Amino acid sequence: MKSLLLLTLVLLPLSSAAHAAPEIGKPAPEFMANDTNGRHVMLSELKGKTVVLEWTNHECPFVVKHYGSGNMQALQAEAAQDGVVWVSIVSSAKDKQGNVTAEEANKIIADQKAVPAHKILDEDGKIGKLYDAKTTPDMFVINKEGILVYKGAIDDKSGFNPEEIKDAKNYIRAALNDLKAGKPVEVSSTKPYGCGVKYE
Amino acid sequence: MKLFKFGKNQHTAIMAGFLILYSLTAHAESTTKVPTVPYVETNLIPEFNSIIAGQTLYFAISQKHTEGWHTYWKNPGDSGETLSIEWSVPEGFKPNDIIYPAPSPQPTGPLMNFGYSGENTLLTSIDIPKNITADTVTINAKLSWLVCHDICIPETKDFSISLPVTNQDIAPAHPALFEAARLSIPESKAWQGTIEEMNQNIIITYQLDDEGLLMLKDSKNFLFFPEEWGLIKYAAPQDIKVTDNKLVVKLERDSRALNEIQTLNSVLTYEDNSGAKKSVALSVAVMPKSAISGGAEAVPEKSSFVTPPSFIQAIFLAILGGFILNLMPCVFPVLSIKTLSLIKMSDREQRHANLHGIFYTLGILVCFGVIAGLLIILKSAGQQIGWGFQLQNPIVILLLAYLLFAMALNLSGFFEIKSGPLANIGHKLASHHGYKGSFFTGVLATIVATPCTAPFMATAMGYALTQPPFVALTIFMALGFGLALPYLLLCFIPPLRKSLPKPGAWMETFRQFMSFPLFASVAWLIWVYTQQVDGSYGTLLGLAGLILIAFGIWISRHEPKKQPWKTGIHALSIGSIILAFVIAGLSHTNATPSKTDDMAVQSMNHTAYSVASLEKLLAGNDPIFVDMTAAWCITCKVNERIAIMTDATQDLFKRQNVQLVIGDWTNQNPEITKFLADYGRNGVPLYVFYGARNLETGKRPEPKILPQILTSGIISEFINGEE
Repeated sequence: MKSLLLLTLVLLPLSSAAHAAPEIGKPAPEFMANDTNGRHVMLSELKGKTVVLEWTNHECPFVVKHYGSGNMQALQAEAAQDGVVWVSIVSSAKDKQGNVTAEEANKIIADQKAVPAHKILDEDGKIGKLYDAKTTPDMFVINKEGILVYKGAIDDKSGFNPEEIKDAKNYIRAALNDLKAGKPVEVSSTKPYGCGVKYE
Repeated sequence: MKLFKFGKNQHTAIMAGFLILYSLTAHAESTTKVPTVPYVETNLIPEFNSIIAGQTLYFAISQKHTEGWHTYWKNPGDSGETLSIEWSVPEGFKPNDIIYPAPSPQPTGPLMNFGYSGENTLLTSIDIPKNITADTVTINAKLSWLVCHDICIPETKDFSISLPVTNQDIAPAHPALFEAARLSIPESKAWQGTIEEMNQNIIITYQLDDEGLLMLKDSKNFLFFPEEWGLIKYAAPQDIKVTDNKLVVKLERDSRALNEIQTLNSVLTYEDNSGAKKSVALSVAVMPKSAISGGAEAVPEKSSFVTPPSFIQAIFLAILGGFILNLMPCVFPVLSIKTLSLIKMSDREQRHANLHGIFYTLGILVCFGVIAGLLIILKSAGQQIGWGFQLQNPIVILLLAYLLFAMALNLSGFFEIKSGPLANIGHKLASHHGYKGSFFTGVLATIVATPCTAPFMATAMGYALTQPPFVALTIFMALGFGLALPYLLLCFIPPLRKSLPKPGAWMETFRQFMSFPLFASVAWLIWVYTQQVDGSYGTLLGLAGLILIAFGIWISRHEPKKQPWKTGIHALSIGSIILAFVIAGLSHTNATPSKTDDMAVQSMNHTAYSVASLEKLLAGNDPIFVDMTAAWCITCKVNERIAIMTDATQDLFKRQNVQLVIGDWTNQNPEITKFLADYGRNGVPLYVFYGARNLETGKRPEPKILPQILTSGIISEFINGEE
């Protein structure tokens, strides 16, 4: 009886750790989903490539700031050139702002002239909650070994005025450059800014 | 004059004309994209309608939210954006930060934000320079804010305020507005706080003064709003209560490192006993102030490295430790002899075995209670002591040695005790002394157990002495219970007793054999004693004391019947014993307490521990292995011999440039006591490994605590970073 109790005591903290927020320096949580073109995307299959996760909602003013100014698209293009896999994720629940069908999502990509490698519709919010994604945009950078090396804001100017983008320090660009140079990512965790992810 | 009459055709023409005009203007409107009514009606209102040089002019930012919409506090929470102002002011005018009223929680789905709804007023101010040349000053401000319902809309509004410059005080323009705004700002309280991380929580404890206690003790619905991001999970429930004179705030932890901030400012809102909503602004220092200035790295923040056991875990560890204590050479003989007397019990007595068990347990518990109580009192009186403190005193060591020596002599047959509490150690089981005897055997078992520590005990003891007295006492009782457990089980479970061998002549031999573990314990205590006392006479004096005890005992058994010899011999006997005690009383500790005299340990290349010596090493780049030990700690000495002093480990240290730091706690050493306390411990051994400095990041990894039972393998695992 005592040993059963002790076993439970040992296991208890382990069970609560099962859903802890993703930690810098630890493996990024595994997920799998179909993208808007029906292709299967699984994080562990992307090992060997750097991966960027971008939570988005095309109607959120902060996302509009980055897409309207062409900033996000430019970043995606730079990433694509370096073989970085960019995954945009929409975790808006049904009937909430930003929730789209696959066709609508593809149309938005075309209109925005965006170039993500994949766009995933996470309607039930599972991937969002797995990563504790709070805002749109909310960014995560995962290195080639599958370790989470950055989480947080896209840059350090959190207003909604597009004018400030050019003076802002872009954390994603900095992280990707650090990874390319084989250095540890200097700024690994910042406060993400944006509209709240529209979970259920 | 006849009026121009509109016929049908003219109607149509004029209608068409109007339609065309209307559509043109409508088109013009849609291209300017100006929302007709913002979701928040915002106004920027100066307190006075004039500028007075050298003063600070306050502005109210009044906000009227559309129903269901909200704006954000200084820390907006999981998402959102607080209000910002872009000022355009003349030369010399200095705008200040926004001052926020107490926020309210604004939950959205699983996310939590902090902000405002309905009507609220923020405050801000501008410092006006002393010299103004103009007659009128124009201040422009562009206010931007995010207002959200389930979706978010950014809104802006421009203000241009022109005010005349005067040098006379004039009445405030909106006294009620500003007074209400000022009242809604949380009042700053200087309550001292401490912050710690435990498991998945952050616990902030504020010390309340009388006023604070009065304010909070009957209040409810506490909510804590931190100004810093990423420390706590905003959506998680908060556990805030007032206990004794402290406000304890327990919050679920989020992932941002605590050591990134110096001070955590926050707002606490609550409802007082009349239901009124109140708020206070609090502050707690996060980084401990480093004792060293300049570039030297302070000893790393330890609170996050120790995951102390929970209360239940500590109880179990204590019971387990107590149980294992029975196997230690100091306790085992006592247990065996007590078991022997159980075996010898007549059948009639067997029925009373239970009671014997209970009295024995009571004896142990009472004795533990006294020791624990003493420890707790001394600790709260500020003494830097830990478990084993009694062993840091050579007087106690020598007296314990005398006691064990006398017991060993008794067991070996050197003398017998016919009556009294110690009779139970011997053959007889005088029935009406039985229970009292069992009680005192329990006391005796506890006393002789004190020099020994068992595995698991250290963690439980360490935890115990950091807790309030009631908790500490309970854990000590659990330890005592564990110690009593084997005998208790034997007393209560007849089948167990039946499995013991039957009485016989072997018992006498066994009893004499049991004297040897006790003699061994005496030898070890004398060895400890010699390391504790000044000068090279320690060995001689300790042994002399033992001889005097033995002589005193022997001589009292050979008292001649005839006077005056009888009294003379009696006096000689007592005199010997007293002399032994005098030797004990005169022992005083070694002048250099931290250096170990253990020659074998001395042969290893090491630095003696002190706060200064460790900090000096930490400022360097080499890995550091800290060994906190004491001469009276058997586990420590065993570990040193089989794990640290081995060739394998010494080579590893040499190859990796590991600096060995040894702290000898044989005698009292407050610096070592504090180091142990920082790691949640209260006794030795403690092994801590500080990894080498990563030359790229300039930081050392977090210190790691090694297990209390070491092998060379375990040490190399930790040093090679495989742990």
